[in-house]
Amino acid sequence: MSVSASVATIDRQTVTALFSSFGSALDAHHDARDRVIKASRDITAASKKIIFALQRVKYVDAEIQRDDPNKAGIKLDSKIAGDIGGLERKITDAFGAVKDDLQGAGAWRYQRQISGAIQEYIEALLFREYLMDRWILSHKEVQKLVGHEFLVTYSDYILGLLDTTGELMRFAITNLYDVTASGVVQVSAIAKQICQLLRTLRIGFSALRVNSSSHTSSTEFVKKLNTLYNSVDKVEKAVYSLTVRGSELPEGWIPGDDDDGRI
Amino acid sequence: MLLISFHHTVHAFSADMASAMDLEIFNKCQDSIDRDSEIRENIRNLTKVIDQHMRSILSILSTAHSTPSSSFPTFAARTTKSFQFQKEAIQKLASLASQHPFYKYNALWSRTLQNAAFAVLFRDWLVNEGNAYIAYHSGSSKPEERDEPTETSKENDDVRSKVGQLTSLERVCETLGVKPGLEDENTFHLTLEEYLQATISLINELSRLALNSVIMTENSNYSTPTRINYFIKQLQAGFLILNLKNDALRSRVDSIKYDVKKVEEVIYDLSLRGLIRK
Repeated sequence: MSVSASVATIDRQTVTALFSSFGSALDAHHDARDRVIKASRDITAASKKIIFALQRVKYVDAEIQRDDPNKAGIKLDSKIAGDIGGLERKITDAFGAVKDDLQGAGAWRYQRQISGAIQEYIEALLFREYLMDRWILSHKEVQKLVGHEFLVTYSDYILGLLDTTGELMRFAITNLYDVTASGVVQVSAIAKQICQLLRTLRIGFSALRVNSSSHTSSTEFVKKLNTLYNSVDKVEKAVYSLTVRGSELPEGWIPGDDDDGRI
Repeated sequence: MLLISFHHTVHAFSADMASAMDLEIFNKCQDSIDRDSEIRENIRNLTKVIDQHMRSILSILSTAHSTPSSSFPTFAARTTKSFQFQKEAIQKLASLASQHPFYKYNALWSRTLQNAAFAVLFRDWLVNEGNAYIAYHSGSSKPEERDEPTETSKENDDVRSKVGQLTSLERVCETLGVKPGLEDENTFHLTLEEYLQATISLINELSRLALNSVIMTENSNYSTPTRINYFIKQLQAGFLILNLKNDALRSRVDSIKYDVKKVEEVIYDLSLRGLIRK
């Protein structure tokens, strides 16, 4: 009798049932995603705290393992070591909470959500390992430390490594000089080593060919690469200044004061 | 050439530089970038082919906007060949993509598959609509009686027949030659989000068709806009069931209300003039 009657056969209940089933699939996905984002925040925050704790270590005050001069690393005092241990446990717990969500297809599905945290954690791992053992961990070594149940992409490793260079620069600047027994101010061994390491990284990274249109994190890479160039410049400049003027420095001079907080 | 120059740079490292790190890191990094670029390039080339077939299908289907509803099944049939080509191209993509974790490169073809799914939904809708139109207007004074048996016969069928003209996810996958969205599988599939996005594209397209079908209507048979109105309102109600986050799907779902409004205005105009009975 009326036109609308011809379409009334579409079943409202079926639409409801269909979309309800879609809804539960979407809800499960959103819940997993939210859990990963939360864990990601916790991991990032704890990793940053580890880095800050390591930056507070005064190289000159720290007990240094002297057995191998090339590998001479820092021994952390028990307070800092304890703090870092606590933070590490937080990170392990946060990873554990999303272990199931990041399995199988989830590893890549939520990669973007966990990626930032992984990079930050890599930064903490690399920085600590360098200070303790004077060694830059490889991707494989990092994957082992994070755990094989979690995906550490090569891209995250590289970006984490580039972030670490900023921390190394800070550490080199704050620990720029030693005062010898005879009272002479000189460039510290650690500053020299970091300077050399940053140059190595600069050479290696600047030779990489990154196809900007094809690599997901290439813009980030280029940005971080520029930061690395600046860090190398800062350390080189600081080491140079101290080398030239070191012997004339007044007591109590703090390196980096003339840098206008650019560090 | 470039690869050679890179390895030369590695030779530029002095011996003491190697003490704090494994210089292989840079080679491995380059390898990883090169491999990734190559895969992306290959996937992009395949999506371009799929897009091309999708465009030729859609150009045929968009005839709907300038022909009477009764001709829908006829020209929809002309897409069969392109659908076949598209299916073959998608299968090539599927076999390449299956070599990698599914979500690693999913973003590269997601839009392509979404559009391809929309083409299926639109074609099926048009065929159904054309048949419904012909059935309804073939001199019948009692349309309910004519429509009843066809719908009842489908009732025991899959979800597709129950929702009427909305082709189910499983059926769309079948037409495209992919697996349906198996959430936890790493195999190549059409995701639920892609299917829902395609459904919204259908709603968009139909809101335009509601207007154009009025222009093209033969003998004052204005049943197509009425069916569109009913259909998209059903879907709108369906989308309201979903808990959406602030993501791409959300913003498109929000756009449905404008399509509904557009069609309602057509219905209003027609009923105001007594061209359809409510």
